[in-house]
Amino acid sequence: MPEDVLRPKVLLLDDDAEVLDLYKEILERLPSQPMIQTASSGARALALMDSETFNLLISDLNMPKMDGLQVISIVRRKYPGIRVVVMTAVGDSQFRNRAYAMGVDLYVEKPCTSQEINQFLDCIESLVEQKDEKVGFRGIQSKSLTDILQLESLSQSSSILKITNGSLIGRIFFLNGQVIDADHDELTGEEAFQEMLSWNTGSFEVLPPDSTRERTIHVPVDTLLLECAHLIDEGQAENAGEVTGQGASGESPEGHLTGIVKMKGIEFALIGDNQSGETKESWGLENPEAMNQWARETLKSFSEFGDKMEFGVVNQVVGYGEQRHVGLKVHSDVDICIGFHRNLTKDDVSSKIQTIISKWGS
Amino acid sequence: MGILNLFRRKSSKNELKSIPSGSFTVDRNGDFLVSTLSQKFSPELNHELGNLVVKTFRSARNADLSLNELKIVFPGVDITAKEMRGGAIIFIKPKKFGN
Repeated sequence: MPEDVLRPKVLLLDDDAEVLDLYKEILERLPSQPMIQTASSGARALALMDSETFNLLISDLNMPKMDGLQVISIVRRKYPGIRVVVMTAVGDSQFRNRAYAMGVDLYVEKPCTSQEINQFLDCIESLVEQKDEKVGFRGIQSKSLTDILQLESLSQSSSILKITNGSLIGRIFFLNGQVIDADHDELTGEEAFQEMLSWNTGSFEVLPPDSTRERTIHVPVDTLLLECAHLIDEGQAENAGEVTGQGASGESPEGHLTGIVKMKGIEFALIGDNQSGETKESWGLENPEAMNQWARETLKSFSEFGDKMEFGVVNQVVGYGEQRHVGLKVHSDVDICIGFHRNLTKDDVSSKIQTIISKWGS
Repeated sequence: MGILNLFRRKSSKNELKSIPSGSFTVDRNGDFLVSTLSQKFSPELNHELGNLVVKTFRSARNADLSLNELKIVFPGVDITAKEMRGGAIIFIKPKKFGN
């Protein structure tokens, strides 16, 4: 048996003493040999969690005084790192959606057959085995967006999956387990779906379905996911290679610029190495070197001035002109320079810069 | 009594610098013309900022960018500069947090 410190700790919450005894016995036999504690009320469970750290909470929903959803909402706020599984007899999709919206990792109906019990135990084992990872969508930690989509599809859900990644928000519309549409920023349909699939982290919530939503995606979910995986792989392969898109106007963007230039209102984009001063990537510029030099000098001069004045690090520099606008931003070891169409308002320019930086971070 | 000294705050004569608020104008050479900024704001720094802005407008033109306004965003202050016949009017506006 592994040392106690290495064994995962699971808290089992149910108001039925028999259920607690039964699942305690079953769960202790898992290969990871978790240490199981039990609580017959929400208050007791919270008290236990105050006194020691658990890896996983398995909670019933229907309980007197404090119900499972109330417990979960407190747990999510106080202990955001703990994984939460709802195991309940409540099959109502409303509660399922609410629980997932609150960020539970798994919602299962109490297993009845030996096959269901085995499946349930597999899921629990997989959850307690997982180490903390930074990648993962809040709600189902360590599950990729693909997993979440497959879950929604398998459960034949009709819902809207709202996905948030920093300041980026997208929605995927499900009808009877099929993806019928998606939207993100100015993108819709498959294009928006593909964009969201490229996000590595974020959070999600399940919203009630929109029955009036027009279907724009007619491809089965599995096919969609396969196509997206293929596109993402291709993108990663491009990024991994030599990135020197010194493109003249009209040339196809490469590397990091691929996502940026898809946005409406972008006239040109350039990424410069702020250490070496070299142009790393550019798109839509006749003379990227001149632009890179201007961007670099401008950011450097204002950064130095900010230091001298104790204004802090320059966040961004935006220039407005009658022909086009331009936004400059230092991000890590690169200078980002984006040209915007003159019709964009100042607010549009500012919000697009933020969006680009969020995308970059993801 | 010695141990109590550990908890006593060290007096400091350093004052936190407040960020000035106001505007000033510079000519095409970056020379200072008129200002509404507090006297506490060093004239040298005024001059430096004016020069920097004029130079940035000029160098942008060399990079095929014709700009008539610049906004420089710092965590605590926004600087807006509008081009005026080669010179510029520069606004310094500290950010109000919590609004």
